[in-house]
Amino acid sequence: MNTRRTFLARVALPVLVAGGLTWWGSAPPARAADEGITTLVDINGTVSGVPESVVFSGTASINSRLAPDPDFGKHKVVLIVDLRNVSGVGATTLTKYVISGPDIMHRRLGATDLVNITFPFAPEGTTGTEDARPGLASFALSFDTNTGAVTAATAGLGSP
Amino acid sequence: MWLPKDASKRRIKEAENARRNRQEIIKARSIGQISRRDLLKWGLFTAGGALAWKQGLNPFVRSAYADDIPTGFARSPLFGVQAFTQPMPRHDVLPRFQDPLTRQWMFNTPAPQKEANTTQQPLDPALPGVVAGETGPIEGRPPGPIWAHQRWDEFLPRIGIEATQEGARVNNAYNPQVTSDHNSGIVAGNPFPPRFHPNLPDQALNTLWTFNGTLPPKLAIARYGEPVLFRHHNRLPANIAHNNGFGRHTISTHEHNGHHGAENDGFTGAYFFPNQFYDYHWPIVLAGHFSVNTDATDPRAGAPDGSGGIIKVPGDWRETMSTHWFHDHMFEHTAENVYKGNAAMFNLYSSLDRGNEAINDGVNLRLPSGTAKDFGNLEYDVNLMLADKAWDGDGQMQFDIFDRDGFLGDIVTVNLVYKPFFQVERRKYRFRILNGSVARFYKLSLSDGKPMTIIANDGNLLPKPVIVTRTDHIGIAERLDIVIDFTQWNVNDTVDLVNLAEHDNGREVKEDLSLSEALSGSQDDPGVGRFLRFHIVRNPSQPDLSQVPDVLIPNPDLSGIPVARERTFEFGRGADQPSNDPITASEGEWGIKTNGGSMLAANFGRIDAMPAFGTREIWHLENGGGGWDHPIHIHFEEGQILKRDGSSSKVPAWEKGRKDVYRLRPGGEVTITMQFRDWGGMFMEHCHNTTHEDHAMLMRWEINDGGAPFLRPLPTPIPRPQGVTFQNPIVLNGA
Repeated sequence: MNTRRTFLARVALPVLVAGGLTWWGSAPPARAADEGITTLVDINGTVSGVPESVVFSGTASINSRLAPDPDFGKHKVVLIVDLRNVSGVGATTLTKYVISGPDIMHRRLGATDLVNITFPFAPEGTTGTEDARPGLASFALSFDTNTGAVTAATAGLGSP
Repeated sequence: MWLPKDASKRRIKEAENARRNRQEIIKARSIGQISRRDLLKWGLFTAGGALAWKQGLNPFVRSAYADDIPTGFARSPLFGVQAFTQPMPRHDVLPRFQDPLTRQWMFNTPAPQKEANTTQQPLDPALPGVVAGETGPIEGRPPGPIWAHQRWDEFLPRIGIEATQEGARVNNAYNPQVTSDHNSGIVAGNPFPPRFHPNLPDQALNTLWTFNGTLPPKLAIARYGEPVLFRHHNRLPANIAHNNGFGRHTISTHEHNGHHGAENDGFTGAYFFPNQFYDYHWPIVLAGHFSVNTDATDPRAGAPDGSGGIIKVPGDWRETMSTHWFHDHMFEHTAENVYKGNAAMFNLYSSLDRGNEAINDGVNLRLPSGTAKDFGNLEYDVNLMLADKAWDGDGQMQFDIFDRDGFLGDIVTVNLVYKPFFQVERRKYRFRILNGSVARFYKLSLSDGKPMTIIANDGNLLPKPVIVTRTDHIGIAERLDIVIDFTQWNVNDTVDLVNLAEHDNGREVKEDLSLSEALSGSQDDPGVGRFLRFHIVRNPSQPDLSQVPDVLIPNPDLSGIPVARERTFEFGRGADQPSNDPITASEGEWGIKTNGGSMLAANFGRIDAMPAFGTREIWHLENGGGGWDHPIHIHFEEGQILKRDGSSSKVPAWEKGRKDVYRLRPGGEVTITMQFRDWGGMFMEHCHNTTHEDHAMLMRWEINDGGAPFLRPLPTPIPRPQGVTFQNPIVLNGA
């Protein structure tokens, strides 16, 4: 016969008898809409591969919104990285290539962060994935840890 | 939650002891022996809602041996099983019957009828509150005219579908409606056991409660203009304690994103008992059925006629929906029950999205599907249900209600099997992806970063396709339909689907990873990384006739419809519960603040909003904190996102279609607009992190048309095995 005294019997029920009572804390205040802060950063680089290498240049947009976490202390930033103002030129055909986007990501807030994202690009005017290829964009970001704003950024672009 | 990879034996023992102690309480809670109020009184839940730091109970306690790394269950043992060594089963298609009003239904149950069938049957005294000799109705739907099927005579069911909810058993009738060469070699006629891998243990009878008690997960099929009667038989144990530690034997089946009368919505308080059935009447109409295109002249508002043509139907063609699912919505127990297997998918076919890629009639979008049948071809149209699970040392699924942030499993399953492979032809495929998890978000990429095309969000085709290499988060209950063109690879190549969203708790995503980080295997979250392998096995035997058109389904233009009212709902913690009703009122730290009022915990007897029938409103959905995320689901009507975080420019292209789940993001907010048309009754709005939902982040709203044809406000159903009774609702001031 199993004589193990259950957890409920050992801990919970005596507390019940003692009448211990805990109640909810008050609600945290609601946050107002925060559109975040947008930073522009020059970016260029080459994605190699078939049918041709593509040389990209332009300006990346990084919108950073602070998501403060007073309860648990794990503050985050919600980043929207938009490469739609970056375009490429085919090394062989001189075809213009454009990038789709944006990419939205959540990152733990720290003084610095390295962010790598893949992105799709395709010859201008095409719509399907038949002509689309992936590239890789890398960002070295510095943050104001109080506001979540990007204070400095460098970027590079290459093959995934 | 899981222990770190390098956890010591001592630490694992501690956690196992804590788990065992928690399971005692979980079991007691699941069978109604103790309530949340009891747990509060005992101090086992803290003011913040967390599990108290009691030695021997909370696995996260900083014990003499522990550091501050969150831990929990020991990792699920794999019994030597390797990833990608089993084929992924396609969904099991539920049979469709053409004679729902005259056929012989399971268990000799009678023909469906407008009002609930209250024919009495003897009750099993094992049911709670039942004594020997008592009787109760055979149908669990609340009785009388209020819960009668709306417009029954106009939409008499033409298709019958039925399923049981029952404990795990071998599937001897698996029907994926594709041949084995489109099912990675799985032969449909062979027995399909209730296990997550051929080399993992069978799930015990009452560990897994699925539709028909079997795997793979089920798929229902319907087309517009073809009313469906779904009869759901509750064949779960009468004894509430026979649940292998978690899960509640009463259920309410929600047709997620269904545009039906509320009596068919799976209202959280309209649950039914073992040995009862519930008839859900799904008319399958386009929204705007009674106000737009009422003479049914537009072929874009239509359904496949079975022979290559179109049956035109009333309603707005821009409201066409494609990918639904249905799942349990039992008050306070949805997470447990859905986790336990109460989840199925539902494909809707229309003249625009008919599941035939060859018919070229100027309406059909010819999305990847197949050609053999007039509609509903599944060869290249694949349902994927993602769900994270955890199991104990015996390989039996386990669940932890004490994780009130949201339960996370350490094993990602696809179609309820562990990390499978799927054989594909070198052509385009459509994947209808459902996040069927409790609290886990997914962010998907292919393992080589190649592009894929998003065509639908929440089962609705977007205005135009969106090419991505990484998806946005797929929140719990969200659906994302993507097209992958496997001509990007060669025959015999493989490519994997990868999860980039790392969790360390169920509150929110810890961090989104780069592809290389996710593939590195260095994260503590076992849910990150590769989880489904595509193996390109051959060139297509027939030409790929499918397309991904540049224009799919534009949004309905609501700009000319006046905004009758704006409302604000804030989702957060610290909820109060003014009611002591033991049936309708829930206790939980999560809650909803309506229009700046108090943060209130769920009470399905309280009406928090009453939009007027036939109007349009704007709703602001706000996240009350930055330390958690909430995927908010609004039943019945689809909405359009107008703004994210106060800006229309922050609504990404893949969210510019119609939605029914709105991820708020930590500290974020979403502004949506929606109409209230066609049907009436009581509906819900809630967080679809089902742990948050079960811990009181849920509210009831009702469509108010001023009194006719719907009674207002509706009495609240109080289900009992002996029959449903009613009580007067509470109406929130200003609702």
